[in-house]
Amino acid sequence: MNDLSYSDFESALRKALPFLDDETPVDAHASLTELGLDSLTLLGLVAELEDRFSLELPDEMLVMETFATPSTLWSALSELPRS
Amino acid sequence: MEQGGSMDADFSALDCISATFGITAAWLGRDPSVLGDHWGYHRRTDAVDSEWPVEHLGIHRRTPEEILHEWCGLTADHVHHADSRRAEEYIDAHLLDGHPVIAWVDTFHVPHSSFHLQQHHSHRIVIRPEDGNDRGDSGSVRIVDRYQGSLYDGFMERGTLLTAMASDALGEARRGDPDWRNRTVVVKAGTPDFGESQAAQQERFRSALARNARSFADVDLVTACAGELRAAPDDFISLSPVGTIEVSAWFGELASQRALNARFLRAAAEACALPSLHDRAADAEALSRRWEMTRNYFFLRLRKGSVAVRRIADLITETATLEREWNEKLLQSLDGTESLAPS
Repeated sequence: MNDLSYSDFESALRKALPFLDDETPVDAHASLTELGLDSLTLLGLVAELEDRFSLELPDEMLVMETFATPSTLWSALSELPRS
Repeated sequence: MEQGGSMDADFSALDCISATFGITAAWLGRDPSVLGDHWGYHRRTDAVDSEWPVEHLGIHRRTPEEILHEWCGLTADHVHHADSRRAEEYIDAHLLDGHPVIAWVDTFHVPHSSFHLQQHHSHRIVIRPEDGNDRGDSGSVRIVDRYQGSLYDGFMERGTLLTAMASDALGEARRGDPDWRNRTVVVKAGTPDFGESQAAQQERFRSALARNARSFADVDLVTACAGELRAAPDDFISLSPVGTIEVSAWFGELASQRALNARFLRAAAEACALPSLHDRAADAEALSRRWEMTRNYFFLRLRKGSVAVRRIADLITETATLEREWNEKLLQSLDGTESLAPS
């Protein structure tokens, strides 16, 4: 897995979330659902994160709960073992 | 269920069918948690083209309309309008009478959808009567679209709505579906039954829970599907776009159903004063997450080929086992024979 940078993470969020424009700051505790995350965009976001960070999310992370807010998602990603 | 007793203005569900009926029931002052009075598997008797064995299994024996009628006395008027003009006249007349209207739309034309201008999908939304505080202009209608991932409550241009309702893509939705263009449902309150005693309501919940839990003997059908996948994984690694949508929808509908089951179990726990049903509700939520995970795994990892098919078969088997235990514990809760050890 590549080193995680928060700016890369934020950039992946902006790419996947339709209601998050370039000017709006990302609130770490905002609901990602309110920002347009749904079952389809979640899949796009997973693909984007896996591509950027050269990782594969474990099965248990593939639920909306993991993607509640940028903060919960960042925490989950940061806890993944590094190769 | 009593009128005005359990209003849930923010009701949402993981699928748009349950969400729209639940929002409408709540609007009419009924408790939408009754939509969770429904689980179990059966072999579909209608002829369906299929690519994966799970497509032969049905998970709905009753429609949301039937459930809302049984529990709340609500009735649903389905209308297929001849054209957009007639659909608009019908919607306006019902909004004027204070009735919300459920409408089928193509997400490609829905501005607040993540599918907007990207993908065509049949979807349902609620058009609700406006209140005095936030009335829009006459060129727009008030929309509520609360299901997982779309928490929209706002306005939509009238012309946009009518375009979304008349889209040709709605004429060719999922396998076996009818033409959804210019379709609406209006749910109406029947005669409210205020006479049901507490004891009668408790008995109603208990009997519904027992019926659902006993129907779960058919969970063997699910493990048989997993067996088919495991026996010949290479036969299932390639799906058409339609097949991908069908299989993913099957897992997604199960996730939604278990989440609704959890709501129903919580309502039953309160009505029957059976705290252990709260534990069974938590079990149902965990099952919902497992089906959601399986759906997402299927979508993201199927490209890995037979390894992924075998993993999906294992996930199905594991979840079916957990579902069997859930129903056994549920029956024990109802009989008062559940273990006193923390679950």
